[in-house]
Amino acid sequence: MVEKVLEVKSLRTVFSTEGGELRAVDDVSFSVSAGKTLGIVGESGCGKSVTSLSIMRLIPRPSGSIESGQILYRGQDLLGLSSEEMRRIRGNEISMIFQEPMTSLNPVFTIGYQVSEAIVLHQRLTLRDARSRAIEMFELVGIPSPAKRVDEYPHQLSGGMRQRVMIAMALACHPKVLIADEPTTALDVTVQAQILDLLRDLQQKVGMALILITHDLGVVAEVADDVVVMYAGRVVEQGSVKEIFKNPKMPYTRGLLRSSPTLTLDSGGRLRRGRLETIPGIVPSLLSLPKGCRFQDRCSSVLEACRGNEPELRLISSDSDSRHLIRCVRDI
Amino acid sequence: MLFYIVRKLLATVPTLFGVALIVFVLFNMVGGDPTYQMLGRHASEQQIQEVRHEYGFDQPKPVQFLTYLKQIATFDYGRSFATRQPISQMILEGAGPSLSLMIPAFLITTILSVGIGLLVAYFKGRSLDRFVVVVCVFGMSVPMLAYILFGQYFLAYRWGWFPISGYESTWPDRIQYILMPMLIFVIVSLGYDVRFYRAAILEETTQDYVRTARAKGLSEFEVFFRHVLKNSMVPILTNIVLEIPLLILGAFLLESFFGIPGLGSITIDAVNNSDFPVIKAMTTLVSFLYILGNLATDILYVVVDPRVRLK
Repeated sequence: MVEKVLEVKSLRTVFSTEGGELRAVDDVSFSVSAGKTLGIVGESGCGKSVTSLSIMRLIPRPSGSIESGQILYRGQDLLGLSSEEMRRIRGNEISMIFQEPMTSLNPVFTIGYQVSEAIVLHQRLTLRDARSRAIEMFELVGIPSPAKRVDEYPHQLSGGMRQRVMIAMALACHPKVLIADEPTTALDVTVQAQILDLLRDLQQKVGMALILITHDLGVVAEVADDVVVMYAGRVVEQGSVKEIFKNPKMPYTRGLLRSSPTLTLDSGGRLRRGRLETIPGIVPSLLSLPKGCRFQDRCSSVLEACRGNEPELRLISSDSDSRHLIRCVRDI
Repeated sequence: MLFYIVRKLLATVPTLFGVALIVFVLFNMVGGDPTYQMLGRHASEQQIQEVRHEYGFDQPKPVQFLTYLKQIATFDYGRSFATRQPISQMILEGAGPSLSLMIPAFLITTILSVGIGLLVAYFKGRSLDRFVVVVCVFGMSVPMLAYILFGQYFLAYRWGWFPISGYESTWPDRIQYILMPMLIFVIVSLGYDVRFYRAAILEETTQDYVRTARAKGLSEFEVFFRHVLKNSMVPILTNIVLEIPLLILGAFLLESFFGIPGLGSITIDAVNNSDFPVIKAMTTLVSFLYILGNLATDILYVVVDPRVRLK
């Protein structure tokens, strides 16, 4: 049994808004082991980013707070730590990359300084030593001529380069867990592939656990070992990538899979265009959720039972290393 | 860097010229003939001609403009209508009292308002922040005149803490006369400035890089005083420099109420006496100070914001 580095149990994160209290993350559980990748997928507004910010305990206060649950990092509940202790975890044991490389770096400090800052903070190196470490990290993440680049400012770099800087910063202290929140969304397609390859390479090298948050199922299929599908703050389907892509059960997951563009060649070598489908409607407001299943209004195979009580997450199959869970009344 | 400064300096030349042209048009062409204002309606034709000749009003307009430009360049604005003193000498004499009031007043205001702005932004939403914001709004809402009257009646007349008004040109005697107007200036400016700096700093705290800095494991203190502060320097500096020329305007009221013979008093007296050359000299001076202030901000931007250099 591989060690579970991070285990999230029944996490519930709420925000108080003018319209009332909304549960952005509602009873979410998952775990990730060293060297493995967990993909969290779902449309915008499903609670993916809030989940990751909850793990970092960076939920904007005072409007947001973690109401209940546990976040166990190597068996220790992060929610019980003092803010001082939590700071020693952030950027050191658990790091995070954000989806906006253009704005996530501080414009008035050199990239070298921004990476060194984390190193100085957690590894107690001098600024000079941290700088050489930063150059090594830039080399590692594939920034050309890092010794020259180290003194440049973020505005002198392209989006892809900035995201590499973010990755270098996140990995500078060899974290055990890396949370990547849509790391490639803001980048060109060609750069996306480079960044994903880079993340995968680095993960193999240092053996960390990776939580990859994305709405791109193609990325998940390629990179992840396990998947959590989220909808309106809930986990609606969970299991290994192999199982979920081969055998998706929840209509929402199926819808997501069908709305991924596929490009394949037919036997004659011509491009075959699969018809791109969409899931009608949008994610409901968390303030006015329907009674019963939260996906009912957009579901193509909705039943009367879907409008009753909200279905529980239930186990439908399991093998040695993964359990397939769905939140759906239908017996598919 | 040097190239940038030289370029910015050269760019101010047309602006300065334009301002001079506008001032000239307003005063020498739109404003009418000031000799009548000066001499009154019973002056003889010969007197009028003499004055017109002395001030150059009999010259063609382009020549008058060149004379004006020469005045600016040599800082020699001729003599006042009212006092017959050389204007440049009046300005130099008035600058001393004005600066000894405004420099400490401005420094105290800036240090206090940036400091309080940082403090309340750091404690945003807590009771300290709310309290300060309410006090600021109150302070902004009361006009300066109310503070002046209150100060002169209670602090000076009733309680005798300060002299009611007056001035002494020797040090340290002038300090006692400066204290109350300085205090009033600080109180009046603080409300607006604290709110401005608080907003400028809070604007920065919502940026994505702040989240990155937190995710790195930095303490709130480090995030705030290292990452946020350096980014909010641009709006803070802009506000500081833009206020410098207004200092002279702010001093108008204070100087005349407290009998301080500074530039503000000179200007108000000149306006009351229709002292045309003095008003023109003061207008020119304030406009030029404003432009130079802007130039100084442009140069300071380079120091605080690395993105400026490339543009």
